[in-house]
Amino acid sequence: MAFSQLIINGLIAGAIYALIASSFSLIFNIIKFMDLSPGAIFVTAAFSAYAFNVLFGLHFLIALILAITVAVALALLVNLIVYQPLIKRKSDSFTLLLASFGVFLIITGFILLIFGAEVRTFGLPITKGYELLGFIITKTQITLIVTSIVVFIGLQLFMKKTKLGKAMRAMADNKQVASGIGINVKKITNITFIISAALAAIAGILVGLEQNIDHNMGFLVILKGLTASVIGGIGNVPAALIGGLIIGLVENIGIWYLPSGYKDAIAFVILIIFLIFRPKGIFGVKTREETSG
Amino acid sequence: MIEAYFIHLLILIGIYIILAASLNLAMGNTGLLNVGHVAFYAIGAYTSALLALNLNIPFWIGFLAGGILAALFALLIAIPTLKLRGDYLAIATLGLAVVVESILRNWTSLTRGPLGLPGIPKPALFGMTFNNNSYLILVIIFSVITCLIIYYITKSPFGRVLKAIREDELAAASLGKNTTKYKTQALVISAFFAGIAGSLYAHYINFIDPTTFSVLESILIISMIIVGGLASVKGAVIGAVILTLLPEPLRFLPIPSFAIGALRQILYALLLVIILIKRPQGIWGEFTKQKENGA
Amino acid sequence: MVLKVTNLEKDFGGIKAVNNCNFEIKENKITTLIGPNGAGKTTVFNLITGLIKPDKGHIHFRGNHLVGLKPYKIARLGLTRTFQLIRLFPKLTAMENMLLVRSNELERFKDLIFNPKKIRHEENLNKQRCMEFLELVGIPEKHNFLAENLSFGQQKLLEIARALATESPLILLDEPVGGVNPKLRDKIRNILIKIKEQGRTLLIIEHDMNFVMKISDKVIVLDEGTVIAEGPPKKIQNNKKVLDAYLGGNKK
Repeated sequence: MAFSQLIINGLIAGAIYALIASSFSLIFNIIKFMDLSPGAIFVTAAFSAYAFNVLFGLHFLIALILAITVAVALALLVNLIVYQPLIKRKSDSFTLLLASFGVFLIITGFILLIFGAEVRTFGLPITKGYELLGFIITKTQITLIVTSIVVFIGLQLFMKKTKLGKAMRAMADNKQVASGIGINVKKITNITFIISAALAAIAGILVGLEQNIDHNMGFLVILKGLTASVIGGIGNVPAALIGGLIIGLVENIGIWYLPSGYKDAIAFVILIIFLIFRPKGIFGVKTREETSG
Repeated sequence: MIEAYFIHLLILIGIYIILAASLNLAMGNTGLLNVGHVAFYAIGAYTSALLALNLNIPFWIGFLAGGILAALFALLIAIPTLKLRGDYLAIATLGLAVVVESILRNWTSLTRGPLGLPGIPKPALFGMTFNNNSYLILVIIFSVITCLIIYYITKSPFGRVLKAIREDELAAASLGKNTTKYKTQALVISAFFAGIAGSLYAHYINFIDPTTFSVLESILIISMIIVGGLASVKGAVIGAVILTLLPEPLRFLPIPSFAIGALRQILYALLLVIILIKRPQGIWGEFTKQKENGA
Repeated sequence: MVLKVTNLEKDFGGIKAVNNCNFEIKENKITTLIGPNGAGKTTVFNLITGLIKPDKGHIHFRGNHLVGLKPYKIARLGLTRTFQLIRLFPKLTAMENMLLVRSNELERFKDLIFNPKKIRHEENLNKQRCMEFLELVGIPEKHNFLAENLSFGQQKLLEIARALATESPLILLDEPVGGVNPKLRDKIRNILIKIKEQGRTLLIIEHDMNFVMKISDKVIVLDEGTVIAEGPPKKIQNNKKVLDAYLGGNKK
């Protein structure tokens, strides 16, 4: 395999991690806890798209819209029945993180129960890739990259330009102040979950298009998304994007030197390196360190 | 047959008691969000198994080596993360669990990868080999000792600082406590016992492979202490008993094994979430003290 | 002289929170630090206890320079403080809260293995001593209650008992009677006077003038980070500068 191919593979993986990282860091910044459930939303979207498209024979675009709808609805439901009661009781971020781990396992458990353990594909016709500069890229992969770019630009514009985006950033800064100046905290919470779920869902469907899907795919993805956002600095959209690309590139270039089985471990070695030398991440402005001792 | 099955369950319960009680020290008493306890369990199991298989080292030394190596890994994780806010430990320990599983799968020349390690010898003492019944006694002794040690730790002045750190780390620091040092020690002790549990498991079951040490196992142990009650040795024991037995009836359902796995996963996680929402102090949590003492 | 503050200065983003501040605290006396909101009282406490570093100035405490020392080092020199807001450990019992401040030397994990006898022995002594302080503040029967299950007043008392349990010769109290009813206020006053009689030195921030006037041996008035008056309560009550500062501070 050519080295340039590894770079392309790294970019493709990185785009997915960056989507998940944004999905994760939206909730982390605005609702203030580490939510693992986007990993499950990601799997749910991939399997819903598969079910609507392959099992029910709907047109791919309709399947896609329905899958995102299912994912968003599920995220709202989880917020309503799990997170809200906990937030209302002023649970700490520790409890919410554990609950989200539970939610993750419940959802993926049901997916395993319904679809079984075998690997599925969307059954798209396999097209021959385009050969450029020593690497091969398929149409699907181009779609994946272009879609991610569009989503990222859209998300960035939404956060910076729209009233809702500004309200979300205000709530990220300070919830009390935000509600004091008339921001509807409940509404913004729901919108945060909607956008976060949509991002995870898009990532899931894109992965489904490009590779296989199975019930286990969510776990590593959410872990790497989390790692990506730590590396970027759990701050904003560009931070998640850069973090995702770094992880994608390093783990794909890493397997040039290491057996490919170690691919998943590479991301965490980077994580540890960052935690030692730059825990704030690349773009970290706020210090996240606690003074102790 | 039925007797053998019960002994098997009791041995598993004993091992889970060690895992739950040790995790409780870090998580319930100190408030450390360790989501990768299974990594220390795996390190203990593989260390002791490999020492026995490759170097003929007896169990009695192997289990200590397993505990110590697990403790060293905990130290390695603690140094970069425990200075940071608690959430980072969650990511780092989850990451450690993935890295350890990945190494077990891929370092095939040492661990035989997915094929696993068969033929791990049962421990022997003065020429007597511990078979199922006597192994149960061995496990009971180990789990009782573990519980007593952890109880002793939590009731000591050292344990009191751990609780203070869980309640309000900044306030503890302002009383002159080196909180990072205490958190590190709690994690290392906790990992040591998980390592021992791993060794006990390996030498009982005689065959280990990476699937035993998936992250689901971590959530199972967490569920045990949440269900039983955080920061209570009694709670850890109750949680271990309930959660080991709870999915057993599934075994007898006429459904494929992947579905049993899925149902187990859903059952554990559902119980965890329900307890977190409805009864955060667990069945026997320290926080029930409120009722005993409340005016 | 127990504590001497010279030319202390602290700037927060262009605002001089503490400005050329000078005062002294005499041994075995109750000194109160008063002043309008934002006068820099709590900042002075934070500077003395090492939570923040001054831009300029010196702080001497029984022959030691405090500037630049870590908070826990300062605490170990024999200087303890309480906070404006109660900062107890809610899920620890009253006794455990007390013991925490006395057992820095008993908390090593190492000793748990190699020196359990010493731990048991000293822990028992500490318990007895802490019980005496709980008795002093009048809540000995609550020793086994979780701090969060105590009433607000009992929590205040527990915090004072905890500060006493350190056996520090100098105790800094930030609003010990803030938000407290008159009955409890008088009780706290009596406790603090009793402590003084036992030979300790107190420095208190307080807004409650009734309390200040009754308890103080000396009052120091701070305005805009500078000492504008000091002396016995009677003298301060009639000081024109003080009246101006308070009226100015309340204008808004």
